[in-house]
Amino acid sequence: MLAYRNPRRRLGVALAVTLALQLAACTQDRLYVSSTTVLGLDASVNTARTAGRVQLGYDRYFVTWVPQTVEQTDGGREVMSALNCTEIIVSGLALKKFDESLATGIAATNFAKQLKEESAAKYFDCFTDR
Amino acid sequence: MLGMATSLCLVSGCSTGSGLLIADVYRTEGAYVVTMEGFGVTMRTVAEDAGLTLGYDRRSYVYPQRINDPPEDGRHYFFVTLPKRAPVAVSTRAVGIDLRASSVEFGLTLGYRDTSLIALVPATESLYMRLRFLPDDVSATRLTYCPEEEPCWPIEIPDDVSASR
Repeated sequence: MLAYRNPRRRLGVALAVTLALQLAACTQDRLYVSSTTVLGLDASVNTARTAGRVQLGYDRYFVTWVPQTVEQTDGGREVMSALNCTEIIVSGLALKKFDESLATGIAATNFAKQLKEESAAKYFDCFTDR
Repeated sequence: MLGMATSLCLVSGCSTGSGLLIADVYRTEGAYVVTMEGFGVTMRTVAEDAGLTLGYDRRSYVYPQRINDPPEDGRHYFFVTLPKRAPVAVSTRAVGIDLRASSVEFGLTLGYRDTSLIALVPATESLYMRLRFLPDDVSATRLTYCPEEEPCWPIEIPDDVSASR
């Protein structure tokens, strides 16, 4: 109990609990688009890709992660449907603009089947020239 | 004070620090945007952006406007409570030592790091979303977020094609 009277140890315990909770809550069932720019020493492990990287210096990379399968209500798994348009503007070391149109699941399936029609294509800028 | 804030963080999800944390909550077109600037030590317990920063960091979280526990508009100092639901976008910029233990990645940076995670949506959801996000002008953020259970006008997801899920 004496250890908890030390504010530094209390903060350390709180931080350890926080990190443990995050590790326990780690999930790979989310879709995302990401942009990263680093300058310096960087080490990371992407939980979704189970891939790691260590680098020194400058790097910039973009990732679109789409889970390969999603769990259904009946316990089975199906391929995930996703339809998206991404516009990114980067200047120098910083991202300046992110414009994302995204549909998932049955909405993506239905949009994809009707992209030739203006009513559906207008929701996705990159398909408007069709 | 810090211990109490840390405890609250563990329970509710937030950002706090032993340095200076300044947070601004904006209500924009279709979204709430929480922007935080931290100087010194900043700790975060949001699952998508959990970690610790020593130095300077600037972080923005974007939430749909239709949520049950919207953040309080205005400026907050040292501590800000965030909505329980996950943000749909996270933008971070850190200079110094940045330790990350989020649900997306684990990592450590010594130096500068600029990251944006956009369209963080559960794989099981059927939805349409459109997000325009400018990290340096978050008040211009525009979000259309239409989950299947909340069809939002004027978005009409074409549904006359039957497709199995």
